[in-house]
Amino acid sequence: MKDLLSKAAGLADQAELFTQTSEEQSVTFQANKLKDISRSESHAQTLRLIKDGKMGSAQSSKPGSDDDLLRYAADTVAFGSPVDYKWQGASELAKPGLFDPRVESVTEAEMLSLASDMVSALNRFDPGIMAMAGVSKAVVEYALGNSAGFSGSERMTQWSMYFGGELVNDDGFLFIYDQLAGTSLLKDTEQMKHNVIESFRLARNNVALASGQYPVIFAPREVSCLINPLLACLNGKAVSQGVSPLKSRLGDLVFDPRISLRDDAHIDGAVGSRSFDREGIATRPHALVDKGVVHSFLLDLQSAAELKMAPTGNGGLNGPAANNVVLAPGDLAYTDMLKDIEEGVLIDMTMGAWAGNPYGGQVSGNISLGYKIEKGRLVGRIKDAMFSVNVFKALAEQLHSLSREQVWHGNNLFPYVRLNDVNVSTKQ
Amino acid sequence: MQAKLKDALAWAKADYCEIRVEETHATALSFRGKSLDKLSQNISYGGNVRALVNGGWGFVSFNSMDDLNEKVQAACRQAALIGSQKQEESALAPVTVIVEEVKAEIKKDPRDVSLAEKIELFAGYNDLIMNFHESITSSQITYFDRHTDLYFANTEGSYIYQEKVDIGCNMRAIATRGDVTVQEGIGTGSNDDFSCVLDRHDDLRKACQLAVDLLDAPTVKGGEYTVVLDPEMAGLFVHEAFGHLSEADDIKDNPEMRRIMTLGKRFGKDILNIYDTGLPAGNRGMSKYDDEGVATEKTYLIKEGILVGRLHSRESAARMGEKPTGSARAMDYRFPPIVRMRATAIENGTSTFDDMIKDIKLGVYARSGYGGETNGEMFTFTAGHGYMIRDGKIAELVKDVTLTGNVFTTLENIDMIGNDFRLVNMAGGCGKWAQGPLPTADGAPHIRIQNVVIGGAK
Repeated sequence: MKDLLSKAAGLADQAELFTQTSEEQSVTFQANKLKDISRSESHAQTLRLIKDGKMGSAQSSKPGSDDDLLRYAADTVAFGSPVDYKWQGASELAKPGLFDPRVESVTEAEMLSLASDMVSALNRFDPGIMAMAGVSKAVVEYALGNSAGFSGSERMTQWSMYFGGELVNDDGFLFIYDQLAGTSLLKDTEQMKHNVIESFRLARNNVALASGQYPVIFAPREVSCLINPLLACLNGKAVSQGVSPLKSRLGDLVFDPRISLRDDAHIDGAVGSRSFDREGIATRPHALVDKGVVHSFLLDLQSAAELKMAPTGNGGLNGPAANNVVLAPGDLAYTDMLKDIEEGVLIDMTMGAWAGNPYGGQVSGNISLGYKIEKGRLVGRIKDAMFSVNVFKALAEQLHSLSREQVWHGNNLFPYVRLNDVNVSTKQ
Repeated sequence: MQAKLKDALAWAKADYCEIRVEETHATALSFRGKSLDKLSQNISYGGNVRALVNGGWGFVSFNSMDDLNEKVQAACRQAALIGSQKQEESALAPVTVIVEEVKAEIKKDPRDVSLAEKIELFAGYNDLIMNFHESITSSQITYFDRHTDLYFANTEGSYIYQEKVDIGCNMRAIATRGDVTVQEGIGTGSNDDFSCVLDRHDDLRKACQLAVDLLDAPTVKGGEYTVVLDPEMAGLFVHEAFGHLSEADDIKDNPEMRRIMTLGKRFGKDILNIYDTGLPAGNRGMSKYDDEGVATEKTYLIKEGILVGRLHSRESAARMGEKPTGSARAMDYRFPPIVRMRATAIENGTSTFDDMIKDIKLGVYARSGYGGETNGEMFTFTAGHGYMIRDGKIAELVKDVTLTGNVFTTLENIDMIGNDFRLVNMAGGCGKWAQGPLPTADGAPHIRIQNVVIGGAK
């Protein structure tokens, strides 16, 4: 790595080299049957150069292609994108726990047995449901070095399981799944089995709902419908380009004071944790929204330079990116959030809610798995329904409560969120 | 390469084994706001072995071609482990053994256009967007071109080399006033011609004007409407709402799905014809052979409203006793082929646009597809913008138009099909089972659908 980096440094004012090697194994069950076992080995290098204030880059996964990599990077830097910063040298790095030797040593047979156990549980519950499950593990090593003297590396494990099923009958299609992912070994399948089977039990009964405004609870994994547009608007690139409605709201109370959102790269075992970002900046947990006040943005070196702020450890290859996103919990137990709802909706899975203009804050999605709440109880599944909210208004004026329970989904840790007066359109 | 792959396959102890090796050289650039945001040149190189034993698949992917024999054996061992549990016979529909080298017939090769020329071209488009109007605060332009050498060999004796080109571009204008931010844009793509990105200034100006106009447009009111979709939206609709449902790897092992998707069943009115094709030259995702070495074709899915076909891999075709359709596609060497669409289209009809809207009292004309998703039964997709239709006439511009519905009832509710068919290529692509974005195209004329739910406040 040092050799290639020093060659690269000779071609430009600054050079940066990122290498990543991974070994992954996975087992997959589909339609109740073991479908495949796969193994992948990969290695790639990304070289970025800065010369005369312009940056170019090249990437290669071809062994022995260092010369091509140097040539491609040198070609691009002549025309590259303007940069207002320099890469930075060594700094003190935190060390979140990201390696679990148990993941490395888990065998294919154990992975098969975990997946098979979940599939069998769903088969026992209802043989008509086509069960699916997957277990995968990986060991990933990456290293970043630059000509300013930064040198960092990480060796981490990745572990993930998913489990679910599809029930197709005259009432339609019902797809339910659950997943967990982290960097340490999480072999407890009981909670996933419980979640999936109980969801199928509840969703068997279809109930009608008229179009209207309802109290709506977003399950933790769907709170991303509300938070993703917010993250897009807190992204330094959107701020520096002036397209974010939050661009001049730092320090303002924009949201309900119960909304506190932070980016935290230092949580042991979380998939989004890292000690340094993709530009070699030490990560540091930071509040994005603190008690409703816009507190900071997600900044890489370029957007930080444009906004005359300090980078936040959110540098990615394509601009700023969140690490782990944590929405602070509330006081109420989830079951207590339901209690006083006369008629409302619990949204557990959605489709297409990502496909809007995030800077407008307007989010509409099909409720692919949702339940009607009646007199504080979940009474059955609603179908042919779509929710629609403006997240800026929703998180400022429509927030009813946040649950004290938080659930991980990917790199998000979110509570249940209950909103007042959410528009739900249904087939009449 | 042929000898190397053949030698390695000789080590296979399996009912079937194949190797794919590919090398892709790509250029990618993007503009955001006033300047170039990213410029890179990339080499993607690697291969995989897929083996089948007693109905179970083993799969190994790698970057290094060293020890290819061992990789073949590893994939076979994995397959045998599954096969020992499944106790099922391997089934692959028989296909012709092919030995062929397929060179791409490139009209204007992106590799003949220098980086400097590409940057100058897109910088010009970017300036057009940024200087169009004071309300336009930013731009998003993404462009890529890829050139791929793809080698395929299997234990049946096929050896196919295919040269592939893929070009895509999306350009968007972002307009902002106060807290309101909107965007509108255009997209294009091709598998043989860099010219698709040239001379797009007029289209781009129209998109910029729409972005400016959308600042003042109200959000569409939620409810159930008669909806007219433009060819771009109708193409997105047929991809999301019916194309995915036609992918037989989701049908073959599910008895209920097989019942619902029984050939001969009525899905729409007589006017409805839907097909998927790998044939029309120039469109993204087209190729002579799929990633199992099967020739691509035009496959009718619905003819005169009746289900007549579906998309197959060799395995799904064998399990269902049907013919493979050349639809097994892999995102790249890191993935096994699965059943995918190429260009999915609603065939041209006879109605004019005026005929479609003249008797609509209150409806929505949805234009410019933004994105969509389906779970088989339900679909949802979002338009870049829309117009209300009032008393048979196009009325005010509206934004945030998201449509949702049941696939089956919505197909039945298509009551008019236009006579203005076109195929649409954009820079994005299709996602399925963690493989995406895979290059695809969509096609349709304008279509009219009764009783579609649109999200939003009443």
